[in-house]
Amino acid sequence: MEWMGGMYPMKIVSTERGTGASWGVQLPFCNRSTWLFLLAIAAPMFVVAQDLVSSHPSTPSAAGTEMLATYCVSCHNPSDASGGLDLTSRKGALRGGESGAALLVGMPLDSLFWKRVAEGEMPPDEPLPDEARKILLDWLSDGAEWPEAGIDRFAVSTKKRAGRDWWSFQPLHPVSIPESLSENGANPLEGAGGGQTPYRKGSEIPEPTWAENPIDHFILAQLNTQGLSLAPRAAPRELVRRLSFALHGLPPENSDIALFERDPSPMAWTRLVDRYLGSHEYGTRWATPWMDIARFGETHGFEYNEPRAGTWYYRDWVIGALNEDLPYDQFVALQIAADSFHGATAEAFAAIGFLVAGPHNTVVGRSESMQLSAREQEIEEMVATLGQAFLGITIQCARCHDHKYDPITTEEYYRVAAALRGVRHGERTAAPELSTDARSGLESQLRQLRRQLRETYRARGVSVSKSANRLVRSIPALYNERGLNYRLSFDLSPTVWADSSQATTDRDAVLIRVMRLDQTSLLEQAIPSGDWIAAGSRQNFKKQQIEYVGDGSGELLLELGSEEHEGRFAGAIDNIVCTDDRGETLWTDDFSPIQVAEAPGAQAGTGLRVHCRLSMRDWQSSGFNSVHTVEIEPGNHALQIFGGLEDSLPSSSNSQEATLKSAIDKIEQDLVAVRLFTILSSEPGRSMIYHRGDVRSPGNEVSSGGIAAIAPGRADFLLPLEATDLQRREALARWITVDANALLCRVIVNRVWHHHFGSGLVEKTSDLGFSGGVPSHPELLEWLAHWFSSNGYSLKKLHRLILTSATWQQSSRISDPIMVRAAMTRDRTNRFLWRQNSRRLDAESIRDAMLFVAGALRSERGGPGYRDVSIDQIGAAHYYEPNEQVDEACFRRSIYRWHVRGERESILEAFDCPDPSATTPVRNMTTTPLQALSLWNSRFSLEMSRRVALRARSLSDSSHVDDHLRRLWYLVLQRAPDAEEIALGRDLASFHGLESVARVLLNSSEFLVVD
Amino acid sequence: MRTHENRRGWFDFLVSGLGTAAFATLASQDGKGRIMAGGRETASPTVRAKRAIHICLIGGYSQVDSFDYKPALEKYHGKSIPGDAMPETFFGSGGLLCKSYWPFHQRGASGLWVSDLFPNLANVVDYMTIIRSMVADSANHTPAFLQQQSGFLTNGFPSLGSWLSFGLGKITDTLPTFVVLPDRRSLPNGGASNWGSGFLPAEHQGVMLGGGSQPIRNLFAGSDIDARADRDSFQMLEALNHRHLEGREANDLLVARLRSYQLAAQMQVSIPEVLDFADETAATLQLYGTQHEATADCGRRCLLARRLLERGVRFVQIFSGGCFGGEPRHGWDSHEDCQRDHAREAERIDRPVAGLIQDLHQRGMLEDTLVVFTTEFGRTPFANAPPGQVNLGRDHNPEGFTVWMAGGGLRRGFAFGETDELGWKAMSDKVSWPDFHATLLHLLGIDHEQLTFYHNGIQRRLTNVHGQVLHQLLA
Repeated sequence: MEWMGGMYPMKIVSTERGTGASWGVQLPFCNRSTWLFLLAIAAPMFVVAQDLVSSHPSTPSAAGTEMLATYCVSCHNPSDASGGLDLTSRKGALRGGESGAALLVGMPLDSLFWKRVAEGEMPPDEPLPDEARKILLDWLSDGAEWPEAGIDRFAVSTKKRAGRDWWSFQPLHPVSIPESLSENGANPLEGAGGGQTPYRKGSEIPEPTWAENPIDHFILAQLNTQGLSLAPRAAPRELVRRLSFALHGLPPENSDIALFERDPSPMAWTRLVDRYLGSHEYGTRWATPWMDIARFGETHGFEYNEPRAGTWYYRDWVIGALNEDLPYDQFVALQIAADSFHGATAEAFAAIGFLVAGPHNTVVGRSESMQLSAREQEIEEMVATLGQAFLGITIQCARCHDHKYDPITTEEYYRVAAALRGVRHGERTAAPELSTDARSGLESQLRQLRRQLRETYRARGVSVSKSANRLVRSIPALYNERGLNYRLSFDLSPTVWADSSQATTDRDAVLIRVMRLDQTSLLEQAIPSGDWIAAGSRQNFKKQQIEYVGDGSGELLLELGSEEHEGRFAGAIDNIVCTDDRGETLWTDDFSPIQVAEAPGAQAGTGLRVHCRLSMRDWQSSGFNSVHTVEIEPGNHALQIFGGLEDSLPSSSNSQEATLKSAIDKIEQDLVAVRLFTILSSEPGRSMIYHRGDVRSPGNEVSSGGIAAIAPGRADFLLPLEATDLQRREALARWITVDANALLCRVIVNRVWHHHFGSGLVEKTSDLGFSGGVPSHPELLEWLAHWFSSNGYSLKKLHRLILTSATWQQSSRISDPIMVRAAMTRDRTNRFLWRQNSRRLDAESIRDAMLFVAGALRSERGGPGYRDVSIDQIGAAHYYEPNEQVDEACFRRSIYRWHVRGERESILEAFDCPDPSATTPVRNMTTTPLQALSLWNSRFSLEMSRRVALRARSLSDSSHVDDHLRRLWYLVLQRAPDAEEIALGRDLASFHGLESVARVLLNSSEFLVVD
Repeated sequence: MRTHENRRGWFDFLVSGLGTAAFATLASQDGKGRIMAGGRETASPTVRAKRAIHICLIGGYSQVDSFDYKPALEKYHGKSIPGDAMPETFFGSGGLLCKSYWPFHQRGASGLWVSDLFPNLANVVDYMTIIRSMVADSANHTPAFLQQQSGFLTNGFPSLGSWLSFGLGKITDTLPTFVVLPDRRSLPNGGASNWGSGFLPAEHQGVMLGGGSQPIRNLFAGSDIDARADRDSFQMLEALNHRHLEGREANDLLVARLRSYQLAAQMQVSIPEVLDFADETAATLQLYGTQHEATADCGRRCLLARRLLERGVRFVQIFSGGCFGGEPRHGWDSHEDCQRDHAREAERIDRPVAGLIQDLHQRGMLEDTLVVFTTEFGRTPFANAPPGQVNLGRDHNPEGFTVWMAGGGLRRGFAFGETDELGWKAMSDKVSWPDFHATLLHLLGIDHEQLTFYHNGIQRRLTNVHGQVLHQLLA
């Protein structure tokens, strides 16, 4: 027999708990006797970390070194040797520090170590407990023996830090579901509904008691120990509103409430949950918290804060993945290395957008140390986000010294960093997956359309060749004695030297033609602009080889230009080299200018010198843009190729041209694919451990790897130092998602719980290390994590499990003041969940709900976000001002807002939508007068008030104001107004119109705070 | 979330009946994650400063042209930089040495040297505590500016003002605790992220106060809604929210929401009032230079800052300059022509800031107010040119620059720290931004190691893991 619609691969068995035959859930692999066994081993796991010192090892030596481990070595270790002293080994103690030897052979009690301890000078922060002092004394008297390998200060947890035995690092293990018995021995589940259980009866299928969900047993077991119980189930309207906001971030349709109220089926609730989970609004809603974690922003941040193009592919990928219920382990792995698992497709690069969704400094200065340290900051930012998002640990804290609280060494930080060292921020073009035939078909169509377009240009007298930017020179006849092949090789940097305001579109390409002197073409090759990088460096140039096979007898013409499209830059070329078969250089050109007509300018984005209007040795130029170089090193010029033919054409009303252009656009979208902001995979380079994080003090080189405390035995990726970026990231993704890594499940299960209850089982949802504290319900967290991993890592199943629990469905309102006082006395913050937490809607839900009730919410999904800001530019710097006017194009769900960094003045920010500069696992939830002002006075609010009033009137059957008010209440609050509310509303409406009443309702606590 | 710790207070209040107790603040004393609140609650008797005005010179002003007198630089004028180390500048090179563009004189009773770049500030030098040995961790504007603003080189950390708002708490509910007054010409790069609250609650973020009919966004509903409709609607909202509270008495969020609307209504009165200078005398206006074109912008903002402090605002940040780039420049980043650009910028702020100090002094406010005058880094004593060459500009110099403070708890007419004989690198008593921030917090009664907020696994501090209070600066 399956339980609740068959989504759970668990068996329902009848057990002998409590009274009679009630329903219990049992994991398939675990019978009752193993439960007891597991309970016995599970319980101490959480105790270990908290009270380690109380169980002393038996020998004085072990006890003594444990005291050292607890009180001394966190400041006196090889990585962080305070006062130069390392107490992790006997050798270190004998060597001593700045004040001399800490330990004297044969005279332990006269040694500096003991003096400092005895005088209470050390440890510095708190006095050593007498007991610990005695243990140390015994140990010193006994000869002060250290373990041979020294003290491994990460092995065990102490009162001050987590060791490798910390609860959250341990493998997942099955936990038995507790029997939640009340004091009088009755099954409390039967009474938990406060007389309402089961909520709806009448069907012949026996509904499982609504408090039958395994979660409830864990919660009740805990509540029972406090003498508390679950609150009654919430009223139907409250439940449906809560569900709708929880899964869709929108209010429910009134019909959903009405149907649920009328549906007698015991499965009504489960069906409703399933229906809401099946809607695409689910992914739209749940992408928001993930975007917070991914610190997803669509501008670079820092000085220029340039807009990024093609960022939204990542957002749409997340929404799609959630709606498809992509198993969470894959969801994670793909965001790290989808290009390795799925090939270099557009979808893959969309997913990896995660790694580079954060801020990125495009102004790094000229000095080498500035560039190096900027790069290290960038890598730290990625490591930090990765660690917190997927593992709930703060790896970045170990960059300058070993982690102070968790078992993460500096070397491990640099090993994780090494795994991401090949990742750079940028745009790239990537194609969707297409069959070869389909691709070549589209390509030939495209060529034909382009030819037709050129014809139309010619027909209206535009000389294409004169408008395009062209540089032509002759190549001398090159006699190649050894063979016939020339290899023309170009150091090409697609559109490197620009800031993002000059970013190319995906339609720019450098066009290289090799011709005979009569201009018959021998070879024509377009090199599409590739990975665009704002910050210039010589390394951005890539060799592109173009092979022309000839006999070397005649002079040739070489033409460089742009493909005839729009956009500003098509690329830059540093050198052209012509080699023979053996690689010997026959001829070369490096674009040295012979005459400069104007003083150099500074390149936006890089500050490099740019030269315009210059004459170039041996080259003839044509086209509307002058010859233009950037000086990438003093005296070393690179030629910049401009795009821009169509921009310069006089506009035409020719409809054929428009048709052709849109047909070309369409195919390009299908074929040439997309230009997305994602990672640029580069040569990782060497991975040095920087002493104290200082790039001027490199130490040993490390290969990529993970953290030993997590998934033991898997931390070494077994990759060579010179492994490629792809290999490294794939290994990293595998390590993070390996079954043995229990953090993966614990972290996500806890996050989902946080969103459904307003607080995680571990409150600090991105920190399951020492500072994150211990869970309120350790066994429940363990059970959920284990359940999740055995249920295909399905987030939808997890939601369903939680939402069908009595714990989630209980009321947030307590009518009985005596009960409230009792509960508040014992558990003021509701950690044990004796009621549901009522919560204010988050920023996006407030805005979306207003649009929804006003009937204004647009249904377009995906694609570039709507922009509710105007962009001001001063030089290369970008500023984003909220638009004052209300623009209907912006009436999409807030997840589709174009999400800039540093814009903090919209209604969303007022309601705690975070700036996407750092990962935000838990939003602040504040109540401020500025919120009140924005909701009360903003043009958006007033417009929504007007629209919802209009809608209420138009939906009304009569022109009577009471009827309008009733409609208005249903639209905004999904209920009828009572007599007093009607009276208040009638009063206000008669003087100031129905929109004033609407404004009041949109500002009301009932609208914003979900019970 | 943030009201948990205060739950008892709210709850007791509620059971004792609505409206029988006065609210001190709007759920602000909660401070979840806050270890200790400074300011009012724990101020020791020696702490005098309660509030501060921070004047930020954007782009990096030149110490050798203003407060750091280096006679040797005149001697070496036109010579090469000694040694062959690559200087840590933005462009990674440096031209020939270049003496100050303005003559220096000893000023006031203290005899401190100030150049003619700041003739009015020179007159109030006896109130100043000058630090001539500041160092920054980056020669790049944004990281250096962020370090000044937040202690960290990257985006996303709470600004100094947010930390102060969080640590000091509020005196008034009807004005923001942290107000930002940007240069009229443009905002600093990154806009509002420079005064964002990072991971601190949003109530601590800086609020930009402008002019016109909406000095803060959405203060009023605009002309579509008449005042009567506004008032009547407000009353209905209160009525509905009170009714909604019935049966939900334990929910302090709902009470806080009610209160937030009352405070919003009070702000509609208090903000126009503070912006209206009608009650200021002509002498005061003249002191700030509000009547002259060059000084009007900064003068108005300095005067407004004083008025804000008088009404309970804790921290006001005034920017001198905006965007780092642009043509003409809006700030101190004088790569091309130091004399021209510094003269233009100095004229805009010299009289207003000097006027502010005099005014605060005359009103007795300087005793419990700090005026802080900083820049993200200084400028090089050599030209912004390739080795061996000259031009009129100076490059970024994070290795030694000058900032000053004035006001409560400080040793007045005193200069601390020294750069080398060229005014290039700090030589003695180097002061880092964490040291500076620690000292600022100390002056305001806050222990920088105790002012923490838990975020993503770390108890975060303004001073990260650094910072030494500069006791030598204290009175």
